[in-house]
Amino acid sequence: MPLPTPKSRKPNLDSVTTINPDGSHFILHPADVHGRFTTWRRIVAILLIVVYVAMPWIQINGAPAIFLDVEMRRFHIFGLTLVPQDLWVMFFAISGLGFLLFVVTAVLGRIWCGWACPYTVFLEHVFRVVERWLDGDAPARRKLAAAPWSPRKILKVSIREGIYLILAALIAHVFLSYFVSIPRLYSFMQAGPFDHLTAFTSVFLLTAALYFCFAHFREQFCILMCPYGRLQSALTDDDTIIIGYDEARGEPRGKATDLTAGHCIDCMRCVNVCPTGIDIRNGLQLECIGCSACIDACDEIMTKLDRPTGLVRYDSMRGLAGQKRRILRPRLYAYFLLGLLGLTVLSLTAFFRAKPITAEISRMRGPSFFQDPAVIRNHYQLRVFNKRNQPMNFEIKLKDAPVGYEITGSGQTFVLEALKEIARPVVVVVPLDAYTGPVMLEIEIHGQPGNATVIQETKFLGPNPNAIHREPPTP
Amino acid sequence: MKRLWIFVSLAFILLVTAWTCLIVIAVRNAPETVPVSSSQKP
Repeated sequence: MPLPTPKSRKPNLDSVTTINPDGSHFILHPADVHGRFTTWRRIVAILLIVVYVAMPWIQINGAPAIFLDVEMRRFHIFGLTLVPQDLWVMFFAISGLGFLLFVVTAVLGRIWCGWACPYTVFLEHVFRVVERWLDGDAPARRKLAAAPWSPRKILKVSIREGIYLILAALIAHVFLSYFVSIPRLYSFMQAGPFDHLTAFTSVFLLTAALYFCFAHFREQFCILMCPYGRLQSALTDDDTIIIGYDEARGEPRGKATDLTAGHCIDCMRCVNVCPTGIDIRNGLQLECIGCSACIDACDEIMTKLDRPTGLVRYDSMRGLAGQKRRILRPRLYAYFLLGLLGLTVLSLTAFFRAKPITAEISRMRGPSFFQDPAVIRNHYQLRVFNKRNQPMNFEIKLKDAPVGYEITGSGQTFVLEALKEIARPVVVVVPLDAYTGPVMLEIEIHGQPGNATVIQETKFLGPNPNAIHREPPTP
Repeated sequence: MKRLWIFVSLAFILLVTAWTCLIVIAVRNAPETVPVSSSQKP
């Protein structure tokens, strides 16, 4: 027998407020809140949305700032072009950024979740804004949800859900442009859905997932599915800055006129504004995404009561317990050093490896060397790959070679089209007189524009020099 | 360049070890499993 869905739920530590006893979703309608943190969160969110939308439009080195070109298997990241062979550096990038995020989490708790996570940014600053604009404040939304279906309700819900769908589609299209670039996205949109079925299916599924999450699933994603949220308990400690309730100051709760009571008047504003439906006064909970709505809500009440603000505030468990606060601690150093290590390797490899060209010299199949009456030749194969979105002029030369060694033939300079690879022979010769035995050579491949240089080491092979100079071969 | 690769390899081993340690610690400190009671009635 299904359990009845309650009209309201009181937050407690034994169950998740937003999940009914029968397992169904208890839809929350958080109340409006105003305050300094809410204002700053809105500003940060708008900036992040602008960055998200603008990235595919900004061109760096002939490619969008972030362009993960899956089709051509080139990954352009802020002017750096990576090919699949370079992708191992992503382990270091993810490790570096991951551990630095752990540093931030160890110091500031779930600041990422509340302020910068794309899910929170779109949910709180786009979808809930639309909902507030169309359906009114929390009591009005609750009333609409509880009302029986009528033509007016059907119209209101249809308009709201329609706008949600359009917003989800917009976010999905911007997301797709990170993988196909804006001009191609535009051409895809002009063509029919079946001309680019993979792209269309991706956008369709992403739109559906975003619509479901932002319109209906909402805080359940953070509570039930987000792996980062689950890691919090392992990353934070008593010195982490969290959002907490000053129990010593607030308890015992009582009316504002009761002078023997603590500062908390049990007005439930902090509960009513919470987007995950918890009571912050019950202490740190896994559902708290650190959005700071309860801080602004409580500060507003405290200001009205002419009491000091900060009854609910950003503080560590130690700070809330009246003990000395501590920021620098061993786990912080460990996370920071690991993060730094990842980013150092990323920077080094990006500097040494991830150049706009790749070039490799290998010895041609067949004899190791060719001996003519006058010269000794070595044949190599050069493979050059232009990773940039523009043609490049290449020049091949020997770097600091011994006297007499030179590259012959007409292939010392050539033009390579954008994103093209070429394999061509390179012949190095040395006059017999100058030959003194096998020697290491450095072949320099220089590409313009971009001033990219790759130096490849190879061995120049030949016969025993003593044998040559004693018995010169006859023609 | 050879020294660079030694550094990169050591960094890789260290970071993989760190990730492994973190995952092991997180798994060992996972919240207790609460069995869902089928006898719960309203």
